[in-house]
Amino acid sequence: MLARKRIVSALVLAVGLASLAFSTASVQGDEPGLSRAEFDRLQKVLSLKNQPWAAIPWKNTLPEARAQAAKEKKPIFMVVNTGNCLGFV
Amino acid sequence: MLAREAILNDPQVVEMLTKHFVCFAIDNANNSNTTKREREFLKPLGGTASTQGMSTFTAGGQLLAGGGGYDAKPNLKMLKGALSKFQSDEKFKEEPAPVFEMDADRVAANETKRPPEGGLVLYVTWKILEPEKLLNSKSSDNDKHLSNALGVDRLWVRKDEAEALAKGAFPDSLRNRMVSYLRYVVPGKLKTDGMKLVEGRLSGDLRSDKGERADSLGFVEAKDGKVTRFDLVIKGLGKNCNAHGFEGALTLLPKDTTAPVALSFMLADPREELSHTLPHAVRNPQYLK
Repeated sequence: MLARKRIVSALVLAVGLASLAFSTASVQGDEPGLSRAEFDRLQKVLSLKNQPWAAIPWKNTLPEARAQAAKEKKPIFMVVNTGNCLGFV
Repeated sequence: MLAREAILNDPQVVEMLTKHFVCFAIDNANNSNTTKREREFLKPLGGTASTQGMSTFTAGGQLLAGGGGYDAKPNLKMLKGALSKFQSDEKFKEEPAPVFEMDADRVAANETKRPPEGGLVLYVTWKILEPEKLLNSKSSDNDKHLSNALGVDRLWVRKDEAEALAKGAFPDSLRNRMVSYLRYVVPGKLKTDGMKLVEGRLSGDLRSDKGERADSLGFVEAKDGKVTRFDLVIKGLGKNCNAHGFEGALTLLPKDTTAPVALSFMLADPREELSHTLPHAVRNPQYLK
């Protein structure tokens, strides 16, 4: 009877530990690395091309902007920032 | 990043700027893309705005209107007003074309402030994942914009590094330049970057000294000795900070907490104007070493 109880307890403990190990693996993942599906999903989220502001045809320097504005008879829009607004700000 | 997200991502602003204006941006802190003479020209045209400003003017240098802040609506109104003024006033239509004398500093800047000959430009982007979880009923519009903003930078790759990549190697000098961005996905001190390139596949076991891990996957492809693809995505954790730039969205996190974030490196097309924006770290003379 005692032996049977010990076996049942051991089985319960084993199942508990296995569940814990499984849940930990689910949070962190077994192996380091991204799956291909996650890579594809995140690449879309992180793509600069998906940003509306990136579709605006920006010029990089004042002489380029002035030359194009004069040629196309358009006004110039300038954004000033402590850092380049199209870059690391 | 807030102005970009709040104003320049507004669909009506984008349409207005794309159709009717010639657009450019200046860095007023580091003066990385203006010469002294150009800054003199811009002084009366809104070029001295401190934190953030927007203005419209003619090619000849006549101010039309000024804006700024972090709200699309008044800036859209400003743009409409400037356009109407430009189109209705004869003096703007008859403005003589500007005479360009190439400023010696501009010639020098055009020579030096560009990606290395034969090299590559990578777009570097970063974002908080699940931004809605950072918001609550007290969150402001600016918080919403900030939580959703994409951090953006460029990374230059030297010619010899590009050639090595095309041959299937991952040069240490390039790895070192990339490692500086890992702090945005690995909180704490980076213990190992473990990045390797094997048969066109980039991967790495990225861990902090406290065991926090970032997961990555990337691909490098080449044809006829030229790199045709460089895509790397890293998913990890970002920690609360006080920065206002690239990773500014992390300021929304409570102190000492983390949130899932992702970082990417993607090969840019050198024909795109956006790829010509200077990398943040290019000010460091050791940048390409």
